[in-house]
Amino acid sequence: MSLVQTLRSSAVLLGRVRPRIHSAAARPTKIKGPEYDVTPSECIVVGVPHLQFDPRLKRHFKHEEQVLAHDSTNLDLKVGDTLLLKKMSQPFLPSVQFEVIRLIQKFGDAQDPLTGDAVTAEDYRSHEHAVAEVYGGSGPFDYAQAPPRGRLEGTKDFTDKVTYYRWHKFGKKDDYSLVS
Amino acid sequence: MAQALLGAKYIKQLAGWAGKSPLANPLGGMDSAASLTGIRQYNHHPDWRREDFIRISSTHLHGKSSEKNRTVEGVSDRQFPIIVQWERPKHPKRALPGAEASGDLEAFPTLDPSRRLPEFEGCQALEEAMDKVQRVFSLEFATRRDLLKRVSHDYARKVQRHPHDFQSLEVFIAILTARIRHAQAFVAKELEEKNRRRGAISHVIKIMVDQRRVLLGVLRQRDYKKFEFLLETLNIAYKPRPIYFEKIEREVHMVRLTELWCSELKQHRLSTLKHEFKSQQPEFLRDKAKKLGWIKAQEEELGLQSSVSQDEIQQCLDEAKRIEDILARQTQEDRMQKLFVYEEEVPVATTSDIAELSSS
Repeated sequence: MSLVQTLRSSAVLLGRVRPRIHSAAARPTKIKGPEYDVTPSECIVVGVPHLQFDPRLKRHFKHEEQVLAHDSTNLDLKVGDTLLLKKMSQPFLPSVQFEVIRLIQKFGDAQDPLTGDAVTAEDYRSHEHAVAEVYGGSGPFDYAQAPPRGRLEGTKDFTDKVTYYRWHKFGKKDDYSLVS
Repeated sequence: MAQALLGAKYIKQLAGWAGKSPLANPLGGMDSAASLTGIRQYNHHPDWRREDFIRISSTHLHGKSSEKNRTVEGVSDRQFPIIVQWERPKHPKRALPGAEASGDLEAFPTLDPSRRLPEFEGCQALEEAMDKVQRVFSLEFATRRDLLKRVSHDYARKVQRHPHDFQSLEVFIAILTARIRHAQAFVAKELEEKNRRRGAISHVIKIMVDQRRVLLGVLRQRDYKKFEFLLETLNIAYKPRPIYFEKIEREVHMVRLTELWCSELKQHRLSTLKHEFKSQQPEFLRDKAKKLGWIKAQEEELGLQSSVSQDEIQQCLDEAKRIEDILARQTQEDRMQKLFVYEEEVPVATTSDIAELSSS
């Protein structure tokens, strides 16, 4: 039984945004996937992590279920962002039973929850900057003046949609397919 | 103990059933009790002929089966034409440059021969020395390894955090890209096509490319803006690997292609039908507005309370105009662009058609 069936309405879930399926050719062939071929335009794919019990091994294992969520908010959601979902009392579509409530954390742009300072995974950005100044000035990258994420999507950064192994010599070109 | 004995007796009885023909089985077919106990004797029984249970698979429809001439009840003997031909895509090696393979959108740069190696940069004694000495220390007589040193130093300068930073993740990625491009240029220029070392070096390049993709993924998780800055400055395309590995097989993907083609055919026909109905709507709405106007005029003449308002008539006219605008924007090409495989069939002219055309 899937997670979606067990939950009551107005239940709140934590999840991460996953890349969307943009064409019918991009869906994996053999793996039991979602019920849709192409992700609807008003929705996002969200991976909900939870523990699944294996009756044979008597142990819980990590498992992620992908659900569709209706996004009516103006949050600029990108792949990898952590967010809160809520199960709707009246589903938007039969396959879309969740809606986005709020954004918790941006992917690759973390903040300290206590002080609100910007951090990388290892260090405070302010500390990194201070170290660079001791060594004789910072480099060409400036975090404060860097443009917002998403300007290279589809040209150099191919993480916003699902990538797949090309299984036919298609006439139309798709940059999200791999051949090697 | 008694239970165990009973169980043994019960299993014996089931085995007896299993030995018989499946048609004689009281429980019938595959869902027999024997299959529940795990005894599969009936598979080897002479009465059980495999031919009775062959499913009609796609191979029969495509005519690729070994049993071509077998007749199946309820299925036509005619071999169906293959509408879309499946072709295996070519797989270039991951070591080659380009967005499809290694992700390098730029080749190894050609260097100015008057430049020096990084260790002699800013050396005062060299600048004061004779021209011949300066020439000896320039890149004019440099080996390939020296060139690599020069370029990797240049790449590191573009991304480093401070002038003494040579250990951070982004600098390591920059040095790796220099090494990859250097090796790619060597394979392309220096080695012949059938050289033995070509395969070995391209294998090493593949390892480096994979390592760089992993490191880029780590940087992406830590600092997305710096990851984008790195892609832009070093001119790399980042494509993550698919989650599931998929083997490219003839039969599986031929079936998938025909399924995709059929679904797109359905989609195309429905959309053309919808377009046809939609194009009839403005005319109908204008006619409706005209008739409503007539009703309104008649009611006013007879002095009755009017059941039609002016807003209702205007609404119909506005709606007709809106639909016409939408239809003008949509073209046949736009609708065809959404489809991946399906192409509209061009009717083939017969000999009689050609004769008619030539006579007229």
